[in-house]
Amino acid sequence: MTENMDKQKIRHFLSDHSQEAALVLIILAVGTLVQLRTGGSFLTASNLNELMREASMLIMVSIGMMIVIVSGGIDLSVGSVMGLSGMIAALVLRDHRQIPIAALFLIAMGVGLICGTITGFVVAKLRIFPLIGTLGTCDILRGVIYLFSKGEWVSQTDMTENFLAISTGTFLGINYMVWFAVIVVVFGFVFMGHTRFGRHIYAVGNSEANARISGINTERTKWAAYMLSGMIAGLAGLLWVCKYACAQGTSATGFELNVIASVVLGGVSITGGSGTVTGVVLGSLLFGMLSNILPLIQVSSFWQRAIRGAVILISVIINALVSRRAARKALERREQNETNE
Amino acid sequence: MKQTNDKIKDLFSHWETFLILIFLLVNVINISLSPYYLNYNNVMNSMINFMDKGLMVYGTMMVLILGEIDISIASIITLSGCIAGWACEQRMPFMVCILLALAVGTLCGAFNGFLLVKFKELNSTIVTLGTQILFRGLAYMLLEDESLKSYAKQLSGLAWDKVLGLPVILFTFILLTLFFAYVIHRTCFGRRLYAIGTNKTASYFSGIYTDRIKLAVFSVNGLCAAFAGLFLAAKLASVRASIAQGFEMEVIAMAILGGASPSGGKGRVGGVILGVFIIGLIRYGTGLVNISSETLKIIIGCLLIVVCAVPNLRQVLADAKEARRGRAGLL
Repeated sequence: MTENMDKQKIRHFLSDHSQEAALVLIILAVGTLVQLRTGGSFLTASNLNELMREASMLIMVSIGMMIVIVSGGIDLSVGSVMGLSGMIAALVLRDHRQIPIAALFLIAMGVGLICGTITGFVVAKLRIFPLIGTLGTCDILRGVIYLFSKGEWVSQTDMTENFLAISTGTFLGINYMVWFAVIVVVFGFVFMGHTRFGRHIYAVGNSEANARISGINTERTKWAAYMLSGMIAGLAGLLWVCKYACAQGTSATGFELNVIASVVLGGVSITGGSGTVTGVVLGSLLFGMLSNILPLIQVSSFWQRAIRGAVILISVIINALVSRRAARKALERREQNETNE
Repeated sequence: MKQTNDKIKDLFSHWETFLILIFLLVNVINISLSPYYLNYNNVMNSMINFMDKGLMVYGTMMVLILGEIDISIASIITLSGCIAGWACEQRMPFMVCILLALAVGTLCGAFNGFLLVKFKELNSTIVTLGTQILFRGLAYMLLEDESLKSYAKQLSGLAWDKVLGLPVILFTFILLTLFFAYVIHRTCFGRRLYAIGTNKTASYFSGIYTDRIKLAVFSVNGLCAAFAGLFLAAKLASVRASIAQGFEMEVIAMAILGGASPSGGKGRVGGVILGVFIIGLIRYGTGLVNISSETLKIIIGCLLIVVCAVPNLRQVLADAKEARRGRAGLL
């Protein structure tokens, strides 16, 4: 009896988390295959460290993007926000070398927050179609970077040792950047799953009209989603400058596309209202792995863009098929129940 | 007396009236900014510069009327331009190169439409975002970081020749305008576009083949983009996989400024023509007074947002009033 119950529990768990389970399997399979193919140069400490440093920014920004997509929008401006916040922080550092690191973080996140507020205003308050509105702010912010930097770069020589240590230093043997990602993931997990506001975001994404009728301030909820996404992108922008030790006008151009790819890979519905933080983390890990292993198995870098596009398309199509199958199964179950009665 | 009043009111309720005012305003500002603005040769050269976007605007307009959006057009331009250049490099006959480029563009558009029709759960945002990356990626796979020039001699006529005293591209734009004005405003097909954009379900149940029309519109959009790609390739005289970045934003801005709306069912060809010229002339004017392309990005981005916001403003203000009244009522 209990054994049967246990089995059923496991089956329920797997059917509830089929997407996550599939992602874990794919990650393990891809990792093993690449490890065998490259003769062991994938699972080395230095490569994994590099992979995680790269993926940590992707994971962070993906959490922000997930909040926006769950609320029913999309944010194409995160790449520009990252570039802008990184550039402003780097300029401040160049002109005031004594500034404490914490202040730089505040500046970068503040810049991100302001950008997010503007984007949120455009989408939530002015009610512009999210894709078009954020396409606009993406270009505006990219132009603003040049207004601040006047086309110059901030290079490694303008940065202090302490600042660069953020991307190389470790705590408990794990890179600082990974810790930042962990903080953001924990925040996302608690925020989306266990706060009233997070649940409001799901409700708004599911059906805005119903959410409004049940007393949720939909405008403010959507606005807040963009603000959070902007703030996280601001933080990631600073880490980007740290990691590459260089801030330039084109930093993080097109990064939003990687982010959207990992979010849809993680099973978040692009029409809003569903998606889990675990899925997004796994999706961005898988995507980060893909960009890491393509050079390892000697795929030309010119192919990577097409592969990225194909990954987005294939994963949204798989999502669509999975949800179709789930709907059909639910229907069958209902019909069976009816005939049983 | 009352009748003329109504007429005036009617005139001002049209978006096109405002567009004409904006158009005049842009011209006045440009003329006062630069003495070189009203030079026939300059104007014609600027046409060559912005008309390649004008060629795509009707495809985008039809997509918007359907209530969809296509942001992959810039990549379709790149891919078809690169295909044309690549085919010339392989010493294929000239006509074959052109037809190949047009066919590839149409196929790309049809691929977008096919995905949308086949998987109804997906919306055009994510599909065209994916294909945007995919198509440009294919161009990169084809050309890597090379740039091709061998086609340029044969194709340069498209960019610099004149027909009836007008640049070829402007002449083509006029022909396309006439064609699309007829199709959109004078045929069943056009009326069905508006019907689908206004209410998809109702049109489906009233016997319109919504899927077939969607597929056709996206294919035509791809064909328009491929067409523009040929002109762009002719103008640039060398193609590489990084051309035409960010074109989709300007084209969408032109169409939306012209009165189309991403929520579907709106827009007229007359307005879109004005939209093309307003944005093109802003680009031309700011180029004359030496404004950097980065500042121009800010200007066009702001313009896009303002343009999208204006039709919503009335609703936003009304809702705000409603909310205030509701709060007062509760008190």
